[in-house]
Amino acid sequence: MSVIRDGILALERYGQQGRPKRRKYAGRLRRGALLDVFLVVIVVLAVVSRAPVGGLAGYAIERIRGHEATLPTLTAYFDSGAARPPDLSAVALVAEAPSIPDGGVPEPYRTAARTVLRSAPKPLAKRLNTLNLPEDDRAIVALDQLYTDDVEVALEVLAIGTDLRNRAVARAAAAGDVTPSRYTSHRRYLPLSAVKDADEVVTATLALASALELQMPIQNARVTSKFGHRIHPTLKTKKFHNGVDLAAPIGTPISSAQKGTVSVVGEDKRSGKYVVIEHGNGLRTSYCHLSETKVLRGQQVSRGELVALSGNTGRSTGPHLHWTLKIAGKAMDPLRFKPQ
Amino acid sequence: MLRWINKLDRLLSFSSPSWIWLGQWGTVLLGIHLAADRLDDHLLEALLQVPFGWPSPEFPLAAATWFAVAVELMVGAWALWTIGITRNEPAKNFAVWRARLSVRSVVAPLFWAPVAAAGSWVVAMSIEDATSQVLLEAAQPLSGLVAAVVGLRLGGSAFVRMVRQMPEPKNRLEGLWATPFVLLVAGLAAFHGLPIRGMLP
Repeated sequence: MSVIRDGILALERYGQQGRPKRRKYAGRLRRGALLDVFLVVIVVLAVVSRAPVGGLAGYAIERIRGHEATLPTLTAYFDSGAARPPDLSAVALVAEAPSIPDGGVPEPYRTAARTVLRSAPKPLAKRLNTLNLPEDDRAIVALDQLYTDDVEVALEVLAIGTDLRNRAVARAAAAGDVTPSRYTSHRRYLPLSAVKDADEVVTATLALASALELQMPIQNARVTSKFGHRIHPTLKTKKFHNGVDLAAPIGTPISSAQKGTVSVVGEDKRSGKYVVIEHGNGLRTSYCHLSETKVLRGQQVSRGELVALSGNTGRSTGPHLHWTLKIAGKAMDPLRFKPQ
Repeated sequence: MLRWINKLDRLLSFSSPSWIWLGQWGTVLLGIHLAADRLDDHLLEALLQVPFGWPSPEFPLAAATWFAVAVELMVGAWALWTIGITRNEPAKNFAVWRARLSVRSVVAPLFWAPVAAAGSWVVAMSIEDATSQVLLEAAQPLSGLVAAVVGLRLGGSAFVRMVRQMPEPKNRLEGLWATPFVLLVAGLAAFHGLPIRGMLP
């Protein structure tokens, strides 16, 4: 309120003084106020589009005006909070990928890209429509043309174009990022609309490709309980089963479904002894009811490497492995990706 | 026409105390957000190193991001409050400035300089992104120019305000509680928020 009062007082002073003499004006006033107004408008627009405070202010203004408004998700303005693959639960996997031409995008990225690009972001779909390519596989043919040796780069260029990517890479390099060409490093320097489009293509494809490379933690194991709603065997109530149960006698070797880093080695009443492995691209697998763990927290593991022995610890009715897959924190059926 | 522009400029000049703070605050808000975004990354990295049984594997990510959000909102509010209290007559000499010396009067300019500079860079990026389709090659130099003007007219004037217009403190330790957060944000803005580190050897 005090700044407003200052302004009113200044205006009153202006009224009393009348048209000030040029010499006085030069000495006392802030010259170039028109320019300042222009700068303030630019800054305010930037704040509204880029900072959580701007989002909150926009929400407050809408509410004051009596309009319906949803409170902005403050964490969405943060890179790590948002750089997660979108929800893949609605994505129907493409059963067969077309044959790979020389120099084309390799599997499993090809199938993943083909699946994700079927619902390409609008700007990309518009751009693809202008290309003289067969309608069915337009996106994957365009991706093949962009691919040299890095799938991530090809996907990003396909999603947002070379100019935007190059600009973001240059900004990340100028800010001193160690790996500016990686999407996760320069993502924060992209305009928000481009981030959305790139996430829909790059992050989703890489996450799906990682999921497609999963292998069963126990070879030839029988699935005793599937993913989804079921009557809980001990609680006898309808519960959501967030993974799959694989029959395994106590002491059966459990291997990592993908290469990754062990993030948790723990034990609790529900899961018994368990191991959680982060595979990158938003993928995480966990292995529960173990009799013995064979890895340490922070340890790097390769695909198929021994991580534990199966058991019957925690809330369990018999020896088995409870295997879960989470993508972007959301539990998904690992068998949906047909692990080998 | 020029006469009218001049008149309008003069009228706006008289009223500038009532709106210039919005630009000054906005510039640092952009810098604060850039720093808080990096704080989130560093914090997450640190939390993942701690040998502690988190309630869930998602907990460190959520904790780091919400902590960064809290720091951003708190430092943003502190910046607004600092603008609000710097409405005194400017200190005309060192003796007057020394009489007003407090933790806050030292920390505020130290915070404002790098954070406003980082905010100016964010403005440059926004302008470049918005105009590159139309201005092509000219977008980058133009955005740089506008950012420099934002830095000088809004960031610079706020910096001078922090140095010269702080009120006399009730005690010299005034503002101590906010110092760790404010300097943390300022340090991150200086380290990550300026496009110069990549040029260093």
